[in-house]
Amino acid sequence: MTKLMTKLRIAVLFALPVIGFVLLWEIFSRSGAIDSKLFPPPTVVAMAFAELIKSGEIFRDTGYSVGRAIIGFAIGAGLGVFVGTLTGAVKVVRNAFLPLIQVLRPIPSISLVPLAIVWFGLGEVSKIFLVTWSVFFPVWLNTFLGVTRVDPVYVWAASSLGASKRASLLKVILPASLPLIMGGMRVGVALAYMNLVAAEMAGAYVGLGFRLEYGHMVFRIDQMLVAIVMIGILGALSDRGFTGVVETLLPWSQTKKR
Amino acid sequence: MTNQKVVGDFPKSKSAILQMIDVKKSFGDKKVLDGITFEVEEGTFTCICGPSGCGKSTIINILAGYLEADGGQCKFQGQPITGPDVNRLVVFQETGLFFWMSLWDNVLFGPRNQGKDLRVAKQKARELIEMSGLLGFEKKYPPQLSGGMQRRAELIRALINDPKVLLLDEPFRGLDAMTRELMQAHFVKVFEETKTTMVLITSELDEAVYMGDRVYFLSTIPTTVKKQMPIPISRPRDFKQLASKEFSELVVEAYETMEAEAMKTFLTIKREVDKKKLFEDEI
Repeated sequence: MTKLMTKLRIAVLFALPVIGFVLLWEIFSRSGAIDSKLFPPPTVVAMAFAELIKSGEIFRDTGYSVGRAIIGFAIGAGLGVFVGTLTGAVKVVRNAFLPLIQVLRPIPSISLVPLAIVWFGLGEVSKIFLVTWSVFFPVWLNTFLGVTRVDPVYVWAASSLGASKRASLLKVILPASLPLIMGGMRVGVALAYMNLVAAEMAGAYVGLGFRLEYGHMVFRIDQMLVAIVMIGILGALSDRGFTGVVETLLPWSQTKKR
Repeated sequence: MTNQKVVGDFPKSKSAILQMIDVKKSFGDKKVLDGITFEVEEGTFTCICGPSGCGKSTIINILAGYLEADGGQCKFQGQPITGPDVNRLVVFQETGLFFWMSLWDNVLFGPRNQGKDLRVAKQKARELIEMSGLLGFEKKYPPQLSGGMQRRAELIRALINDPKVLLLDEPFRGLDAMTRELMQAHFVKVFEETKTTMVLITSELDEAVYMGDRVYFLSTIPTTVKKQMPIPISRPRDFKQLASKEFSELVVEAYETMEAEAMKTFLTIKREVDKKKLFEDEI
């Protein structure tokens, strides 16, 4: 009973500010205190949302955005781990590629948006390229750090227990670096999302960023707000989703190390 | 200087499984080991005792083949040590257990990577786990185990490979007093049952006297072997002997040996602090 009460109290505490905010917005907008053309009341936004659901456009936009994010993330993270491992474990590769990577890394991926459109057009490739680019660097960096700074005790133990160099890399050094690699990927998730929206706004035929930009062009601020709310929800969900996947795949990550 | 001579005089027994002869090691400008000489007889429990920061772990890492000595000789069964070997396994300070593997996978890591018969290995793993009171914890990950369980698990991970020598690098550090005593008893029992040669690094004198057949005492840095002391207490040992007169006399002797070294460390630290103070005053 008391447990239920606390849960209820938490729920109320959580809901109150949200409801309050939406209510105030509605009142201010309706009363004419603020310009309802620029700040359409929540009810109007909800109607725009219903309209987009009816036409199916919101599903198409969301589907495309999520698809691009996942494909770009997978390529970027995969490349990041692969190159990070190579540059971390093989000295020749490290010496050859480290300067190049360090020069490319500080380039903000948003600055590549126009180039990507020129190179790859308005289709899927330019979006996926930008997401891949933004995910690659944090994942590469953390993999590289993990592999190069792994606690020597683990490598020593593995070599004493008869592990070959290859086995030591795959079964010991890489898993020991996973906490760092996962940290890099989590940053990658956030960056992927930011850059995806930027790329979609700059030029696309479909996607949440496109919906936002389209709403801007036809002055449908209600639709812009729908797109922004969706972007916010998806962003939060992607982080939660990533943490969930990590906790399922790596059960030990929930417990503290040592 | 005189210390080295005394230590060098002990009879070179044929049954020495591990030998260090005049081993030197520096890290950068810091001279850590300054001519370490000692040997470990097969089937015995040898303790190496020294003040903190004297390079005890370095000795273990050289014996295990992880680090190379700058000078001197290190031999295992009469052959120079050139690298890690499954016959010389280490139980690490804190823990060397792989935190991303379950206890079971940790234990089987050696047999799997050496391509051993897994049916035999699994049977043996079950026996060792049962003997160590870890039954039911096979699927747990190291961070989910208590400190004492981690120590036992790491011992099993080594024992399943039938190593000729077990190198124990302060394995009980960080455990609470009660667990520490239980683990000491457990390791002694394992030694007495398996007769695996063990080398224990420790800074606890009563631990060394309780567990070992022979104790080597190290000086402060740059480190040499100051003294060796046979421990003639009969085996099997149990903690009741901790209260015996024989035991306490040996511990007192050990304390007297180490006190001077401990004081030296203390005074060096004090001198460094004084120097620093002087320097700060000048600024």
